[in-house]
Amino acid sequence: MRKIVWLIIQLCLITSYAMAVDYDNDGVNDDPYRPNFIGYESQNLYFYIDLQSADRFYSITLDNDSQPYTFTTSDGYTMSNDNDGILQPLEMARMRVVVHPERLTPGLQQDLASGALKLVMLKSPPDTIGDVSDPITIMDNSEIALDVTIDRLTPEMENLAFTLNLYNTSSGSNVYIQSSDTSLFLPTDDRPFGHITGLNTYSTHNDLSIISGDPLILDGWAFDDNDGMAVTMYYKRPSDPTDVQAQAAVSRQFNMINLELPYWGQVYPSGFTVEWDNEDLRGYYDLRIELNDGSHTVSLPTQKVFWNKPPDGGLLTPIHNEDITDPEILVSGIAYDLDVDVDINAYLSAVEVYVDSSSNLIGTIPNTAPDNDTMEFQFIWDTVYDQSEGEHTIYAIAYDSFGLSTQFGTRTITIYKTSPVIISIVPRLGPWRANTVVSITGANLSSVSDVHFGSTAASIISASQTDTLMQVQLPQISDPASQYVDVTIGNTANGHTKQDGYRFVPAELGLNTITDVISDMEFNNMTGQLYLLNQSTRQVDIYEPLPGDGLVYGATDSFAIRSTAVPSKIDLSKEQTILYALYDNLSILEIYDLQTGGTLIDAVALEDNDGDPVNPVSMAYLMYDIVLIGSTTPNACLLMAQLDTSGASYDISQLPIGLQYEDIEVVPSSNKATAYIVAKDTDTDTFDVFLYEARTMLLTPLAVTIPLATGQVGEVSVAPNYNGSEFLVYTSTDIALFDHTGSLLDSAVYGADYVTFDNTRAMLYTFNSGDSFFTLKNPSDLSESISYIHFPNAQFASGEPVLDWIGDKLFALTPQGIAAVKIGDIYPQLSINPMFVKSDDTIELVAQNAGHVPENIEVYVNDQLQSGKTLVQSDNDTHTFSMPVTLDDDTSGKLVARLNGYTSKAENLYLLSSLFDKVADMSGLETFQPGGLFYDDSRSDLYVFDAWKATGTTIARFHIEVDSQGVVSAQRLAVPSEIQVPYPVGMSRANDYILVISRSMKSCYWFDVETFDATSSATVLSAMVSPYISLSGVAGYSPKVDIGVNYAYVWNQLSSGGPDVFQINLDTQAVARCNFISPRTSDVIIDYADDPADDRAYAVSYTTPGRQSDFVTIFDPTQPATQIIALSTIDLGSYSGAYQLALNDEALFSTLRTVKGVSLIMPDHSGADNHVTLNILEGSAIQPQFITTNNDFLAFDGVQAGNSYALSFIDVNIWNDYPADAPFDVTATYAPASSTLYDIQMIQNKLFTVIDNEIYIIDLLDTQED
Amino acid sequence: MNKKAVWLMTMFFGLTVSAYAQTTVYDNFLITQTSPASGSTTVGPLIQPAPEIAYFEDVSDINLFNFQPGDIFTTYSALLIPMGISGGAADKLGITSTSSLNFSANGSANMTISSFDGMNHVFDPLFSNYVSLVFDVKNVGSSAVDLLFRIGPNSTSAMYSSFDEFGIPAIMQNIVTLAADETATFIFNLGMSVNNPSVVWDYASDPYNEFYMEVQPQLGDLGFELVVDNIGMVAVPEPGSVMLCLFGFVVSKLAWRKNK
Repeated sequence: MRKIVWLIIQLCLITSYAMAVDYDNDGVNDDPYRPNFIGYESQNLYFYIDLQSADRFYSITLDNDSQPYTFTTSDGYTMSNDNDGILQPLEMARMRVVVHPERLTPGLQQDLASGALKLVMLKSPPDTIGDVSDPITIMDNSEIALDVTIDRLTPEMENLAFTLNLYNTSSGSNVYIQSSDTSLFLPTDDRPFGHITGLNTYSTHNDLSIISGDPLILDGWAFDDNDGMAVTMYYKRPSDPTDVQAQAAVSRQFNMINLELPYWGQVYPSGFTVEWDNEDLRGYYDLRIELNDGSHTVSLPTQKVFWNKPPDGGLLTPIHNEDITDPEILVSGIAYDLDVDVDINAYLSAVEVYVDSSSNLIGTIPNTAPDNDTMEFQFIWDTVYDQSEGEHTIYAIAYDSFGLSTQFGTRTITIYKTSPVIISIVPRLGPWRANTVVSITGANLSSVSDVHFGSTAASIISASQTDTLMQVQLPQISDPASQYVDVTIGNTANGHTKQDGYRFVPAELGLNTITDVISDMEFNNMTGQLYLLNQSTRQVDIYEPLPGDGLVYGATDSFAIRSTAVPSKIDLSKEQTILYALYDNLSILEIYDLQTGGTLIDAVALEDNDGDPVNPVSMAYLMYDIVLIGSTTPNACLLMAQLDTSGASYDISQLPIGLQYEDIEVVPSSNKATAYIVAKDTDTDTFDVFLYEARTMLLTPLAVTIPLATGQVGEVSVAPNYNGSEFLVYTSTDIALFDHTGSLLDSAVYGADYVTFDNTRAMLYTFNSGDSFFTLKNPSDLSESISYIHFPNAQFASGEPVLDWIGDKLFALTPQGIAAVKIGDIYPQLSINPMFVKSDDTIELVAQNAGHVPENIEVYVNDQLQSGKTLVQSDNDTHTFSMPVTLDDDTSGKLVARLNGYTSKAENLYLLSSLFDKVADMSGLETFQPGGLFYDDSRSDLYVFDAWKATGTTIARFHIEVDSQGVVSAQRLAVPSEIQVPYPVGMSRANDYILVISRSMKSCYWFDVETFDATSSATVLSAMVSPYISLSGVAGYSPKVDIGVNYAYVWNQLSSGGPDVFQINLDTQAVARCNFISPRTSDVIIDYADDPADDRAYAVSYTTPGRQSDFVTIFDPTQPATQIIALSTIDLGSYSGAYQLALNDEALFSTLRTVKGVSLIMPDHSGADNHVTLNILEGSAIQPQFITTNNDFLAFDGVQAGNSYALSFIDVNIWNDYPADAPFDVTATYAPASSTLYDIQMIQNKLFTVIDNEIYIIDLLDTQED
Repeated sequence: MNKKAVWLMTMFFGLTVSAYAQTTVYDNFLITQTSPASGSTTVGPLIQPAPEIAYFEDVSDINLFNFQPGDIFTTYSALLIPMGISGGAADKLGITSTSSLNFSANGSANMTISSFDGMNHVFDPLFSNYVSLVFDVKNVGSSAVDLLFRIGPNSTSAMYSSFDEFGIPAIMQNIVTLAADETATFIFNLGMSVNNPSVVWDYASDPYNEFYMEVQPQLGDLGFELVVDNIGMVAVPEPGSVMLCLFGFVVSKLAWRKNK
């Protein structure tokens, strides 16, 4: 019987399924079986009446999702009841209704025949009661179990009530069964659900999907009542803990699954497609689809994928635009596949090489080592002549095992079988006043009958003409121009052009034959004059450029030197105003004033320590009016003369280099900072090299060797670079490059009579007596010969040529006169914008004077060839490129452009890196605005304080490490919470006390950092001068030798009445006023000496425009305040606005706010008050606010016009003093747009700079060794 | 006399009775001089008509002053604003103010004026033609601030303190605390007295000395905002004008009483 009942109920259900009901007339079909549900459901309905039960006429129990139930779609999605008590979409709940007939209404009782009772489910809430389903006839007196599933629930609710109507078909009597009456609800949760139906899989490996190439496409479907549900894909490496959102395109569309889950309607876009292109990702990833409806986040099962990407490669040979003349050539290259895993058959499989088209395969190279991700390949292409003569395209294709391939190395080649072709031109440059022989190598040259250099026809030297080599004679150019020209060769049928094949260089000959004996020549870089030391006439002949192109020099003046002696050497002072003359066999050095036409200032006798006269042969003028003199036998020695060029006094001493030498030569660097001394011992055929540094007056022996044949020691010479940081030692057969410590950098087997460095570029020039040319060599690779260039009219140098400071003109005395070659014209000039970058920036490069073929221009950053530059535009011989910044590791870069081996002057590219990016712990710094910096150099701790913050973290401490590669690391360190004072405006250190000034509390606070670091606890002490006196800053003082002094000097910038510096005893907290007048003190700085008695403090008084002079007061910081007096004052001039001080080993510096500059101060502590002050910068665009320095750089920042901020720095290391520039020119200025700059701090050669809410580290790059 | 007549009389004599009610007058300052410099008595305020120093009716008046923040991180602003201070110094100078100087900072700061700008005497600090220096200050900030006055920078003391054995300002005097929203009129009497010889404004002895008004937020506070206005010299009155003023005062008092 029950079976029959069940069958009937099934029949009813089928009927109900077919009959859509719209009981609320809203135009939407409503499911009659589930209250508040929209849509249709097909399900089983069981209804039993149990007439044997007692008590109530009905009772209801809910099973929620505890029923075993599994839902499966045709595409494999399976979902089972999770038995969590909450009904979720597609889960099934069971309501069980038990009817007790004795409690039924009479009408019902009368008709309790089988089938008399019917049950219908009504919509909930009950105010809309009505028939919403076909009634279910109860065929048995048992019970009813009604199973319901949740699909789309609108609106979303957590507890679902329902209503049933049980009635008698005969009497019409009925009973409403409302679940809410018995507080029964179906707990519901309408979370999204979905299914991934596919990936664009190339193949599978276990549970791994292999995706080959872009894009990755993932399909699926997902449902939720919220139509705006987000579908997002995340990815991660299997070993990574967290995943990353994929920047993938997600589209939604209708999916056929709707037909199986129709509750969302027939048009609901349940399908989704994720399409993801990412060229950077390859290898193993876990993909996760996340569904988010605003209140639920549901992840679909993770998909494991291996994303295979195409291989790539590069063709090494032939090169682009190569002219091929041989019937067979080597084809070679490298292919690589960065996602290799042979375990899943992912590897680089082969390379094929084609010419012109895919039908012309010339080589197939299988990968014999699939484990490797890189494959080098090469083969001999021996069928070159099977191709037609002319231009072809060669390219290669790399294939991987998953069917991906990439074409690479596409380049144009030109095959010459019978036509003439140029392979090389030697030399590639020459003077426009020529008669120069040029060699051309190539193929099929024997037929060449015409050669043109630009528009100039060259004469073929027929005797030398072969198929592979020919020589031509360049005539004097009638219309000279400094330019690259194309070189064209041709025969009667064909021709060939080498674009930019030759460079004409301006060069002229004075044609003023000099018959006198000229023993030395010097170029005056200030006046542009040449000085020829004329032995014959015993005078200095002065030559100047004649009207014209400035390359023809003629004698215009002269002045007599000591008439009874034979002059041998001259040298010029750094300012080029004094000329020093040395005489063979006469122990005398004479000093001439060039500004007065060569007036003799003084004659200095040269004697060794024993009072014996020496035989001087070489001389080097250095900074600070030091002249080194080397002499030869007898009494060979090295003398150092410190000269007062007014002639008033001089001091000569013999430097201790030993007495074993027969010949001592000195050679100065161009900037006169250093000199190298070669001391030769001809008895033992050995030599020694010494470095003399003018700044320190130190003579340092260097361990330097070079191969020497017997008797060759006499040839040994040295050549320093512009500042002497590197030097060459050379003979006629060997050459070696050393740094200033004597470490060997490079060597090569060739020699020269003279070698000189280019002062501005990476280039060497070597000269040999009698040669009509000089050669250009690469100092970074001595074995590389760049080119050579003839002197005009093929003359040869009869003495040592000289080069001007900026490497523009080279002069040589020739038998036909003075040759001048404008060597500077051959080099490209590079400019970069911007100069200050972050690692992911792009810069613009402009290469000028760089020929007409932009592909020829190479760009190097820190000697690394850059491949990422893109040509933006070309204008004649000027080319603009964009290039991504490749700098990293907190290291700035030196950029050069190189063209045919000619290297431009280096341009600095300064890298900014963020300090905070290096710090793991940034807790409490969310609203921190850095303002001031204080560096505790004894612990390498950088304190950063927020001068505008009242509470919370106002001071942060970072331990800074700079490794040998220049990489900065930073670690957050703790400070006592009590030192987090409001509005900190100044910090300093005295011994282990860290000092802080609070603006609002008008007090100085301090704690013992050593104690705090050891115990995590330290007492914070404080002191105040007066509640009416603001403290503007603090300078801690504790001498190097412990004399029981721990002071803080604080000051009041607003001035409290003249003496505005106060002393706080940090051990007793006593405060006292220093007894000297220093109105408006704006900074105090301490100069430490080894002996505390020599310690000095400097306080600067800042006055206002139009008032009295600003000055620095010197006082003894060791004294108690009441005994402190002004030891001396240093006047910094009126209208200067001296404001902040900085100190290095050389000098004291003060910013000058009013005149917008910096003053260099050399305090005189002798008591004579002979202080030296020099405003090394005035009229800067920046009104300096903060300043910092070390021995290499001085930096300052502040406001410039328009209230924008900028930062400048100056190279203050005299070693780096570039001879052609003023010594303290601003090296670079950084003016970030719309940013505010605050404090700056030098740590080693890194400049820490507060910019807005960040601290940037700028690597200042230049060092003494550059 | 009816109210309109009182109002007319008041306007005629440049008096606004209500202004006095909101202005505290501080007039116990004395600036002394020792020896007049040769020719100094002929130098008057350059801004005409004298005796204006700065009435702040024109933005160029701000350029007569120098402003200095208390430390390198403090910033100040000095702007002309369309809000005049009436009564107080304005009345003494016989002017009607329509704009003034708004001086603010996020720390302590001072404003100074020098009689000597390096080339010219902007006005006569020897005061022989005048009896006092006057000006108005209103605290428009939210906290009380302390005003400290001195002549400097080279004098070793100020008119607001004396010092203990350690040179620390020990006895604070003549420091004026302006409560929030308080307006004050300052009168610095000028004369030949040498009661406090340290407070000397005499370009013969030091032409670079300046008159300071230092603004110190009180301990724990940060910053201030003041309105400064009507800086001028009160001249030795002509007898006729004295009589006119007295007449005006009498008339206005009578009118005021009659119209109560």
